[in-house]
Amino acid sequence: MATLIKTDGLDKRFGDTAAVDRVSLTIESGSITGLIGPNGAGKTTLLRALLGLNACDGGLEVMGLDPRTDRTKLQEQVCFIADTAVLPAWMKVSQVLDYVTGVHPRFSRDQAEMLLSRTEVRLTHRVKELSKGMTVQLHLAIVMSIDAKLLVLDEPTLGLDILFRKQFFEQLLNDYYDDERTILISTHQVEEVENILTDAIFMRAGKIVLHESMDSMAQRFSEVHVVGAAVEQAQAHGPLSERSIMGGKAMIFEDKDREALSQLGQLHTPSVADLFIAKMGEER
Amino acid sequence: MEINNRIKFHTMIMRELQEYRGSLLITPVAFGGALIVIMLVAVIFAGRLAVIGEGALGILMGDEGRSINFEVTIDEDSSGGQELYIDRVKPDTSTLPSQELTVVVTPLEVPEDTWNFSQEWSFSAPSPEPRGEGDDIEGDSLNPVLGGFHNVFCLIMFLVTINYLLGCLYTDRKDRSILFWKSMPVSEWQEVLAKLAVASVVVPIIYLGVSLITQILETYIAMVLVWRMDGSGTELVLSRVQFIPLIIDQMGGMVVWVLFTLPAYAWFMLASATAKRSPFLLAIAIPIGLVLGERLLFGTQYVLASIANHLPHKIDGDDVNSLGLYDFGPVWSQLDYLGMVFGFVFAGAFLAGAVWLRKHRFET
Repeated sequence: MATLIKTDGLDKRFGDTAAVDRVSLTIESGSITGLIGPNGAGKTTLLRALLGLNACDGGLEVMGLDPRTDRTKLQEQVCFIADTAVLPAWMKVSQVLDYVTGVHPRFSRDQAEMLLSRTEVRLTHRVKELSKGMTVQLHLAIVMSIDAKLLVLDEPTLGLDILFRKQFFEQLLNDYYDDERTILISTHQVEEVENILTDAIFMRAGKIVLHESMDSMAQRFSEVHVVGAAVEQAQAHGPLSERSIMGGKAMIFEDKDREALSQLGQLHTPSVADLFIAKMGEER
Repeated sequence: MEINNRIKFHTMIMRELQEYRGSLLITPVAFGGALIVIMLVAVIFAGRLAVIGEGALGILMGDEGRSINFEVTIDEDSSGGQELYIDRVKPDTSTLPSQELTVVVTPLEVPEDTWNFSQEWSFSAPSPEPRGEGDDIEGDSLNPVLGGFHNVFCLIMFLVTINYLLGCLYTDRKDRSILFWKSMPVSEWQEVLAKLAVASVVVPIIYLGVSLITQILETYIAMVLVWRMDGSGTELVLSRVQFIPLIIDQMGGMVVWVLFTLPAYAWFMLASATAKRSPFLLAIAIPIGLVLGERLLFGTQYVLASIANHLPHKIDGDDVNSLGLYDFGPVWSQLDYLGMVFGFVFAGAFLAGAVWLRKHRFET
C-alpha cells in the first residue's frame, strides 16, 4: 500500500477560528476511510483543502502533488462529489455527459450510460427535472465512470431517503471499489457507512480525535454490558463512556485487557457510532 | 480518451452556448427572421401598398442624395376632416372624404437633426461621413442602409454579451454548481478564457454571420419589392449595394469592436467573479464613482473619455478613432492604437483578478 494523502500540520483558519487545526494524517491507497464528525467539525474544510479548493497552510501532498498548485493535474486522478445537488440545473443529462467526455481524459461515457440505464434517469432529462435522489444517481454514475485513484465524497447522501442511501453505498462498494482505489467519505450518519469502512477518522473542532483502522479499533476498544453489582466494579476500570441498557450499563473501554473485562460482563465490539459518541464525550 | 486542449476548449465553449442559447443563438436568428418576415409581408402586400410603395420608390429615385426624409402631417381642415397628401402620387389638390387620416410623404428638405413633435414629425437619416480611404463607393450607395440594420444587430449583441459576461462567473457560484465544474480537470484560467472567447470571438462571429445573411436576404427581398412595383430591382437596389466592401467593412468593424471592448468585457467578468449579490450594480457603480470623483476633485473627464473609448458609440464627424456603429466601416489609419494597447493591459489585469477570485473567493 502506498501513501496517497499526507498532511503535516495542515492548518486553515477563518479569522480566529481554526477550521482545521494543525492536522497531520496519512491515508493509504486501497482504503475506504470515513471522516466522521459533528456539524462544524471542519470535515468539509479539510476535504476541500485536500482537493485544492481552499487555501491552507502546512504540509500537504495528495498523490505526490500539492493540490494548492496542481489542482488541475490532480483532478485527472481524483474525483469528488462536493455536495448533493451541485450539478448545473439547466443542463440536460446528455449535455453533462458531453461535457465530462470533452474535458476528462479518464471518463468512460459508455460506462456512465450503462450505469444510468439501471436508473430512472434519462439522457433527455434536464438536471432540474430530476429528484434529489436521481441527481445523486447521475452524479455517482459520472464519478464511477471516471477511472480515478481517489474518490472524495463530502456528505454524499445528505437529504436522501434511506433506500437511496443504502443503494448508494452498496453500489459504491460493489461496482466501484477495488484494491486500487481509495475512497474518502465524510458523513455524520455513521451507522450507514461503518460496514463499508476500512478506516475511520473522528474529527472535532478542527482536530483529529481518532484515526484507526477498523481492525485495530476492534482490538483497542471493547464494550462491556455490565449488570447489577458489577457496575461499580467496572466503573473502577475507567470506562471511556457508559450508557444505560436494560438492567445495567454498556461501557466502552480503551486499551484495556479484554480478558479482565470479560469477567465484568458480556464483551462486545463497540459500534463506530457508539465509539464516536464516546470519543466526542471524552473531549468535552 | 486522449483529450487535447482543443477538444477541451471546444467542449467548454459548447457548454456556454448551451447555457446561454436563448440570448447568444436564438436572439440574433429571431431578430434577423423578424426583419425578413416584415420585408416579406411588405412584398406580399406590395400591391395594396402601391401608393406608399411608389412613395418609397420616389425616395429611392429621389435626387436628395442619401438623405431620406419623411414627413407626416396631420392637417386638420376647417371642416374637421383630415387630408392625405402624397407628393408625386396625388396632387395636393386631391381631397379625400372627411374623417380619413392623411399622410404626406414628401422629399422635404428638413434640416438634419430636426425633431419636431408638434404637428410635423420628421426624421432625417444622417448623411454618412465620407470615407477616409479608398472612396470607391458610389455616392448613392445603399450600404449605409444595410449598415443601419447591422448596427442594430451590434447593439443587441452588446446587450446580450453584457448580460452573458455578468452572469458567467456569478450564477454557478450562486447555485453552487461551481463545485461540479471544479471537480473537473479544468483550470480557472481555461475557464475564464473560454468564457471570454465566447464573448469576444464566438458571439461576434454568430451575430456578424446572421447579420450578413439577413442583409443579403433583405437586399433580395427589396429587389422583389421594387419589381412588384414595376421598378427595376437590379438598377435601384442591387447595383447600389456593394457586397464585398460591405462584408469587409462589417468584418473590420467587428474586429475593431472586439479589440476595443476587451477591457470593458474583462471588467464585466471581474464584476461577475466578485459580486456577492448584483454583478450589474458592482460593474456600473465603480466606474460611475470614479467618473464623478474625478470630476469633483479635478474637474476633468479623462476617466469618462477612457471608458467611452472602449464602449460602442455612434461615430460621427471626425471622431473615427475608436469602435462604433459605422455607416461603412472603421478607418484603420485613424484608430486609437495606443488606447487599444492600454485597453489590453487593463483587460489582462481584470482577467487575472477574475481568475484569482475564482480560485480563492468562489463561495458567495
